[in-house]
This record gives sequence, C-alpha cells and structure tokens, in this order.
Amino acid sequence: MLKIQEIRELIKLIDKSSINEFKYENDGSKIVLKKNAGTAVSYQTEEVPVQPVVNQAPPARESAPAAEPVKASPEVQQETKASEEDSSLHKVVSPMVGTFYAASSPEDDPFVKPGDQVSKDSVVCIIEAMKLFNEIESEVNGEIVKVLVENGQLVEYGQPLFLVKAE
Amino acid sequence: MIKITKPGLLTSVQDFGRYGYQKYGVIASGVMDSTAHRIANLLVGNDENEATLELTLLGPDMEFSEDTLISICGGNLSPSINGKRVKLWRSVLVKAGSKLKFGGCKTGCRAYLAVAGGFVLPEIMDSKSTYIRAGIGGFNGKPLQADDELTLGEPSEFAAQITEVLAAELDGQKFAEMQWTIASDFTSTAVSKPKVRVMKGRQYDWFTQDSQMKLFTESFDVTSQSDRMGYRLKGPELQLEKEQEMLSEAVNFGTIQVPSEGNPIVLLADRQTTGGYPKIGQIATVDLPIMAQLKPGDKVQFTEVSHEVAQQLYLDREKQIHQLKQGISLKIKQESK
Repeated sequence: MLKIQEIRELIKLIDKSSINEFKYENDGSKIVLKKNAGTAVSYQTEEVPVQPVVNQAPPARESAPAAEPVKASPEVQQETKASEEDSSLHKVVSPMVGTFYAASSPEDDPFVKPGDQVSKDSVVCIIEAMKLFNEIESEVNGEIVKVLVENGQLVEYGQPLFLVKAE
Repeated sequence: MIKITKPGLLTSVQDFGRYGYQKYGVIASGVMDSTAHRIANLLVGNDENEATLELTLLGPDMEFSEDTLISICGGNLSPSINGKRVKLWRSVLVKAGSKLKFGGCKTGCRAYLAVAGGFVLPEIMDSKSTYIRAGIGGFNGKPLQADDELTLGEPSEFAAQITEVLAAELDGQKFAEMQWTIASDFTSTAVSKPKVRVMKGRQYDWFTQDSQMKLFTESFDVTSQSDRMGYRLKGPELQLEKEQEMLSEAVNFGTIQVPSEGNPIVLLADRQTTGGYPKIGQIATVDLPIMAQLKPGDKVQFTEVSHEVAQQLYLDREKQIHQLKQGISLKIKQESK
C-alpha cells in the first residue's frame, strides 16, 4: 500500500507530466489518478473574455494549471485517507471522558501541530477531568499528521485525538 | 528526615496560621498562598492544614535520608533533583540520598514544599506556623538554617497508595513524577501585572473621589519594602477628603490601608493584629494567592467587586477544590488497581 506522502508525490509528478491517466494495483488495493483536462480547458476559454478588461493575462494563465492539482488531489486524498486512517497511521486516543486542551495554558503554544516530529513519550495534549490535567503521550515515534479535535472540546473515552505517522 | 544544606533566602514552616490569639496580640502568621499550600498537601495525601515549607524567591538546598513523597506548588523557583528538573504541581516520589535544589525564580515569588506525613514539630497555640519576629512556632521559631534536620511524620494510607503508583514508575531513577497535574484554574496565580479584585474598605468614603477612582483604574508597583507582613505599594497618591484620625480596629489578610503620605499598604500573613490607618479596600479572599505571588518590582491593578460577588467567588473556589480532592482520590484509586 502506498503511503499518503507517496501518493502526494505521484500527483505532483503526474501533474507536471503529459500523462492523463495513471493506474496502480498492488495487493488488492488500487489507485486511479486522472487529469480532468476537459474542465481545465473550458475554464481557460471562459476566462479569456475577461482578460482584456482586467488586463491580468499572465496570472490567469498561471492559475489555471495550478487549479488542476488542487481539484484532483482532494478526491484522491479523501479516498486514500479513509483507508490510511484505519491502517498505517497510529491513533492517539483519549483514555477518559474530559476536555481536550492542545496547550498547557491559554498563553502557551500548542504541544504539537501537524508536521511536528514526536517521540513516544512526547506530551501531545492534556485531557482535563475533575480539575486534573492528564498528560497524553504520543505512544509512538513519528510525525503528527492530523489533529482530530478542537481545543476545549469535550472528548469521549477512546475517541481518536491525533493521527501519527509512525516511523 | 530532610537535612537543609543551604537555607535559601527565607524558608519557613507554615500552616493555615495561629487563629484565636489575636486578642492577646499574637499575629495569625501562616502561609501567604493558601491555594498552593493546600494543593501541595493534597498531592501527598496530607490534611490541607498540615505544615509545609514556604520558600521565598531563592529556594533552599536539601537532602533526603529516606524515600519521601513530596510535591512543590506555587511559584516556579526552578526545582531540580540531582540536577534533573522537577515539575511543579505534581506528586513526586524522591529516593533516599537525593538532593533537591532550587535555582532562579522564574514565575511568582513563593513555592510550597509538602512532604507526606508532614513535619514532626510541636504545635504552639494550635499551629506549627513560624512567627519569626516573636521566635514562636515552626522549627525553633526561626526560618530554616543550614544543617537543620526535619523529622517527617507518618504518611497517610492515601499517601502510601500514591507512593505505590509512583514506585512502579521509578525505573532506577532518583525520582518519579506523576503523569497528571493540577488544572490551570489553580496553577495560574503567578501572572504578570494581574488584576486583583477588591471590595470597598470600611473608610472608602473618607477618600476623595479622585483617589477612589484611581484605586480601581491605575496600576501600583510593589516596592522593595514588602515582606510577609505587608506590601508597600507605590502609585497614585490616595488622599482623604479631610484629615481625620481613627481608633485602631481589626485588620485582615488583604486589607489595603493608606497612611497619610498616600501610598497604600496591603496587609498579608504576618500582619499586625489591629490597624489605625483608614482602610480603602479589602482584597477578595480568592485573589490573595495572586497577591502573595507578586514580588518587589511587579505591578498590580485593582478592580472593584461587591461583597456578594466576592463571597460567591469564594464559594465557587471551595467547590472547585472539593472537586479536585475527589478527582485526586479517584485518580489514585484507578491507578493503584
């Protein structure tokens, strides 16, 4: 199975290439990436009449191709994320019912944010219950991929709080 | 046993104070920051009133001759055990032979060190608090000196459970800290330029309108003439409408009195029993810990609060502490399973 980073890399490469469609199959999982050339072209033609008026031809042309990967990637990411969440990414779950805090006090920076490297004993958040702050550790070495809850949110027992890409 | 190897700036034994003797001229004394003191005791399974060590600005160095359950709450005086930083507001199990030191004062002014079982010291007039000026109570009536040795009392059953939980985490280390700590509702007393809530004092109406307004709008500096007895503040001068004298009457922890030169004095733990200066205000009990954590050079602002609101704040705080107590007890029950 491809990692989410690898899929991102693929999208970038395909986008720059002349390939319009890409299929990948391995161990029963399948990824299909398609460039939606048709809409992109129609976008460009629609924008043409506007250009003389606003007189910003170069930025408009630049933005059109840029729009392509943005359009393409969310579809692919969502598909893959659903499966990734269940498999390779480590979930940090709440050991109790309580209030989630991303930082040790309102003035402090959050313990972690997406992209941060953590070791297995790094404190990633606090869960408050009965006026006690319980420090929650990452439990794995890796990188924070996503924060799944908001600061101050009430969380349930076993509710996933973070996704960590384990090393 | 704990042996003091370096005394620090001012380290004294304090509990809630010596009440019932002010009529004889014996001051109340006791801890400056009662919240930090209470929580320090709760974290080591003590009664809330058990004596703790109050450390001021520059903490002491000490050695533990037995495994001891401790907690350090209040201002951050950079505690470390055998060179390794120790966290505040936590139950900490310290192995025999370890050395606890304090470095610079990072936040606040005072820290409280509680040990499970408390200190074996005589109660003088129902209290272990040190009344330094009179040489009464505490350890020989004095702040702690180098080579003083404090004997520890019998830890409670609850303390034994906390110790058990931490012993499992020791893993050959010199000390082990609890994974959980206290909610910031209690721990955020050491703040810069705090707003402290104040009720109108008995002679508030004696002051000019301008002075009344300035009390609640301008900020005051804590001067170097500040200690456990009171803080002398410097700010706008507070003037009386007309010169008048009064008979001395009762003063309390947090009373703001104004001598004729116009700079207010906030009376604190070691306050005298009565005062003859007009009282412009009285600090709400819940905000006394904030006041106690101010050090000379810090700024403070006062905001007005009614008597009723101050009482409600006090009741709410007591409810929160009650909840915290239950929280700690449940947590230990859950973890010692």
